[in-house]
Amino acid sequence: MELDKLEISLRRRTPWEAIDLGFALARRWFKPLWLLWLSCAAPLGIVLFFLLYDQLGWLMLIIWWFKPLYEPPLMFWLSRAVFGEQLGVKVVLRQWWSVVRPQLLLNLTFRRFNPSRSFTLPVALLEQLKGTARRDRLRVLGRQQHAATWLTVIGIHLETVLEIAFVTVVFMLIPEDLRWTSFSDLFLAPGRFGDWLQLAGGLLCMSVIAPFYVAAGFALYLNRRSELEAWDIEINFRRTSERVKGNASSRTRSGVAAMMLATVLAIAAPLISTPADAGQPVSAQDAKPLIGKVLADEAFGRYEQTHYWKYTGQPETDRDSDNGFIELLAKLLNGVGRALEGSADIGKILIWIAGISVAVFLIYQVAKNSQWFRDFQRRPVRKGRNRPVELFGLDLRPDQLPDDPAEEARRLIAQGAFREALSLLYRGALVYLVIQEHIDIPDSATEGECEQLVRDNRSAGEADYFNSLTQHWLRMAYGHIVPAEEPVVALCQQWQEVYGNVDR
Amino acid sequence: MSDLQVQEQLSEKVLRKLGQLEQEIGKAVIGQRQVIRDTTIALLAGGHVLVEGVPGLGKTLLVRSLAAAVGGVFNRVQFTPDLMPSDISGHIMFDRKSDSFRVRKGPVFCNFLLADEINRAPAKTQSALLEVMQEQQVTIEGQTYELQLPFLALATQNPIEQEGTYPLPQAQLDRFLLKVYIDYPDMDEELLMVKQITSGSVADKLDVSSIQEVLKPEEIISLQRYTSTLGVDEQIVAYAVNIVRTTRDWSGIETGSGPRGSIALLRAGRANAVLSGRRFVTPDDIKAVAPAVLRHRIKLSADLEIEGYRADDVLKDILSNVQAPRV
Repeated sequence: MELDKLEISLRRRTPWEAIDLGFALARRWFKPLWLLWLSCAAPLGIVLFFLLYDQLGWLMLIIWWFKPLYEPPLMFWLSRAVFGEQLGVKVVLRQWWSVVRPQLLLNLTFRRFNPSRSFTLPVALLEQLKGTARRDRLRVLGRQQHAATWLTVIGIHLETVLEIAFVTVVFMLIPEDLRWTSFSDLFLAPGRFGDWLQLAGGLLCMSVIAPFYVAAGFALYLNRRSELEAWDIEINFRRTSERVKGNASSRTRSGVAAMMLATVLAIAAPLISTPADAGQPVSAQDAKPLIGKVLADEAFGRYEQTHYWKYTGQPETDRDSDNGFIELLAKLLNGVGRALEGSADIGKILIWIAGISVAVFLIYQVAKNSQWFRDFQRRPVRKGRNRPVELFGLDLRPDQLPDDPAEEARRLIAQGAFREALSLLYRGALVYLVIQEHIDIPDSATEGECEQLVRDNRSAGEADYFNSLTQHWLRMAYGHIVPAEEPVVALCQQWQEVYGNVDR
Repeated sequence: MSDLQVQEQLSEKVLRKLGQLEQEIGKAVIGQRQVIRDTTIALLAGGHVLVEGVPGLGKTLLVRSLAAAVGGVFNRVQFTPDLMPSDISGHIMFDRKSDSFRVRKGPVFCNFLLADEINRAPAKTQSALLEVMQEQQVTIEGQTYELQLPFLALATQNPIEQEGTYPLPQAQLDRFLLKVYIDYPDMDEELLMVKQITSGSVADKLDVSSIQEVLKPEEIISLQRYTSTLGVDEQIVAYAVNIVRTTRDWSGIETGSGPRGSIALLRAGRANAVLSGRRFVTPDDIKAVAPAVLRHRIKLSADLEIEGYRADDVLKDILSNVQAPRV
């Protein structure tokens, strides 16, 4: 890392000032950053468009979800640009995969909802840390750093506001006579045009906000490192050293430089977290006289006495106040707070459990409604399926059928019991369809609907036979028309051929 | 020859013609097979049809074609806010030549009446027509005149442009045997229709000259009698009643159908069986006609209506939940 080449002026900044610095960077290099974002997002967008062109909601969700694919290149470019090396868009795109790949799966799943995404990104991308090392590093970097979370919150709001503004502007530009929909419908019941408008607005706003978000996150990161590793002091001393180099003799120069370096190291040593950047460590024994020397200087050795007024009496309580409820609530909440003090870990675990449960539930819901999952589940589900035991008043339990229904039907025909014979044949056919062929026949299915099911699921020959059987059954059951003996006997013979292999 | 044999002979002979009836109407009314089927069912069951659809889908053509195929008299009344009951039923006028009062019969004296946009006329005019439909007779100045049978009224409603209309109350909707939705034809049907109507035609006059008369009004009356005597198994009756009773307890239905719904289901079911060439009614007949028979007899709850559900959606749920007959 060549701090001399740093293009930004490092000084001690608050996190909010650091975010400002990031916004200034994004404004300065907006064009390359924006182009980079678009170049990364557009190919995925086009592919998704061809796959999901009639499901724009999903399209939008996926493009939004895959933000970790478009943001690292921006961070990569910025990390070079602040040190004076402005890469071309093409150069970054050529390295796109190597930039995006580290920990991609985690970035797309687990870390997708990390509220300080842009702040933590450099640790994985630029420092190449992972696992425990990454976690330890983030613990050091992230101490007292809440601005990164607020940056994400503000970013989300800005994105939403910009999108609404975009749709509003387009709506306002439509002449009143040509408006076919109301403003509220454009958001609540958008229809095709509204969907497209929201998609276009969403993409535009994402692309505009992304450079600012990434740059601000990067500036926060730089600021924090500069704070921890005293980059600003180092740079200033280097500059001083350079300046002095021209005026003083080499001996003096080296003496001053040595003293300054020793001083810097003495001051920075306790703060430095990466020894590589900190130079040679100085033992506490050697440092003590140096520190004393420095503190004895005028700049440090000054004492000031200030005076101020402070009320030392008991605060007056307003007994007549009607804030009883609020006070009670405050007491209650304080009590709960005290009770849970030190139990933050339990809360954390509960939140994790809730989060994982929600994720599992969502995955289950999506999977349950997708065809592949149903196909996958088909066999186990059918094994445990409750088969109907009765349909049209006919007992469908296999054990209620005789061993040879066709033979039994013939015997019934010989006795003149046509209705019973046809009933037996029809019941046997249904048992076959339900038990053997796993055809779902609901309770409300009429004979015609059963016929349609057979036609849809079975061979033409079987459908013809079932049709003939159904017609005879219908005439007998509802028309009370007694059939001739011959066709019914023929039905018995065919039954054996069609359904003879029914597994009872 | 026994009554049964006579009935069977009648059915064999006339059933062949019935098949032709639908074909003949189909020559002029391209597509809309379900609408043609429903109208024929209403004709056989002696009921009336309420047709809902946007203008220009062939409602007038349908009734004119039906009249041409049956050889009946066709009349059309355009319902408007200033239409009076006497404009439909007729009135007495003084004839100065004969120096006496004479009855001028209204357009209702016909076999096939098209009441176009029935919801545009005030309630009293609607009531006049609905009474005629129910009674099949008209009273003018105390004198009762029987309508010429068969009599089929086909009333239309426009689902759009509801401003200034008088929606039919539930009690009057109940008088219609069927409510039929007429929808836009598909691409091929529309192409065929446009070609057929524009070839050799100067204006867009409805042409029913290609339709042959296949049935006579008297034969329709015989068919109606035959349909009404068709045997229905007890289980079928129970099935129809079950469906109707379910509409009364179904969540999402504010007002279910009354017993007239069950009666209409059986009447329409019988007609459907006749049209299918059967001499008995099956559960499929009842299920097939149930949406058209019941969709105007139920009133959905406000929340379902707000959510955009239609009566057909609820009826579909009901039909897939009511057990089919157990023989």
